[in-house]
Amino acid sequence: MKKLNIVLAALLGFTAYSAQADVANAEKLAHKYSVIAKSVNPDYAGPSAADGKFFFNRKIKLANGKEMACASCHTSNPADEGKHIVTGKAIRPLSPVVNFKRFADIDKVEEQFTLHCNDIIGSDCTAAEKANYITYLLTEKTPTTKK
Amino acid sequence: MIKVETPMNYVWDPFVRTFHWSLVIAFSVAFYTHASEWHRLIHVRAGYAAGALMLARIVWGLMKTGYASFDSFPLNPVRAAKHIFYVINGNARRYIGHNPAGSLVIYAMLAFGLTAVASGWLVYNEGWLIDQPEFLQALHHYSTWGWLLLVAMHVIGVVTESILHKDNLILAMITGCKRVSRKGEKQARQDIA
Repeated sequence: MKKLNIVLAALLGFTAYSAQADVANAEKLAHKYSVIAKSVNPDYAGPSAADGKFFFNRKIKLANGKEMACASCHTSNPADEGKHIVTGKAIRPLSPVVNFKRFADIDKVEEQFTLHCNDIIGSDCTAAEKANYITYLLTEKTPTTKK
Repeated sequence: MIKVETPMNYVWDPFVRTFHWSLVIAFSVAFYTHASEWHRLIHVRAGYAAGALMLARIVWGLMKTGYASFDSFPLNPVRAAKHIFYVINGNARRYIGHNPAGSLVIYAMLAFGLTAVASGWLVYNEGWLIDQPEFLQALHHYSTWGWLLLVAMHVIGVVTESILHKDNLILAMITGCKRVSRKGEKQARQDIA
């Protein structure tokens, strides 16, 4: 019994740690991108959640005529579960505040950034866009719908 | 069992040939569509097709289907290593079906291929059965690249053997027929016996 308690405590401690770690990871990545953005454009004032929100909901016209935004799959609230518009499969929340598995692996985040930006915009997003985007994700803390 | 009375120039049956090139197409489609979310459904369907093809091939291999039967190319890593050594020394003997090194790659391709499809299936249905997305994605990633590496080894083997035995093994997978030397035929009888 005592052993089980220790295991449970360790497990709880680990999850609490990783939950914090991934918000911290997201902040670290946002900082990295904002530093790059500033070196590219000295006028860049630093990451803006409002710009990130605009970017997230901005509909982009694709080559096939469809209009798409991040929100098309991920809903207008990144703390909510999304739905893949091609496959119809559920997508876990983007916000690292709600879904602590997000931003656990920074390499994977950067890879997915490139793939998703290529899918929608047709090229990689700028560092400023990425910094704004992550900063916006971190502000969305409450899911609107309960499933 | 394989009939050894007739000259064995007909090696790959229609099922094996259809399976082989269908798998090439399914793998290529899945590989080409793997990066884009827009192609996700095509990717998944190509993957499932590849999985179904491999399962059918395993059933076919368990049946008495001559050179297509698993009995005709047993998994034997020691013999595979020896065969590679003989090839390097220039005294490799000829096998009508798969040579031991080729056989090893075939079994590895089946194992990696099925792992790739199974892990892809679980990645696609995230949260179902095994709720470990990171682990499954890594498994899918590495098993697929491993599979591709094995395909490269398979192609290198085919080209090497084609040059060594002055035969066109790619054409053999289309027509089903291989050029058979008397010596090879005799040894093939010993293999089967």
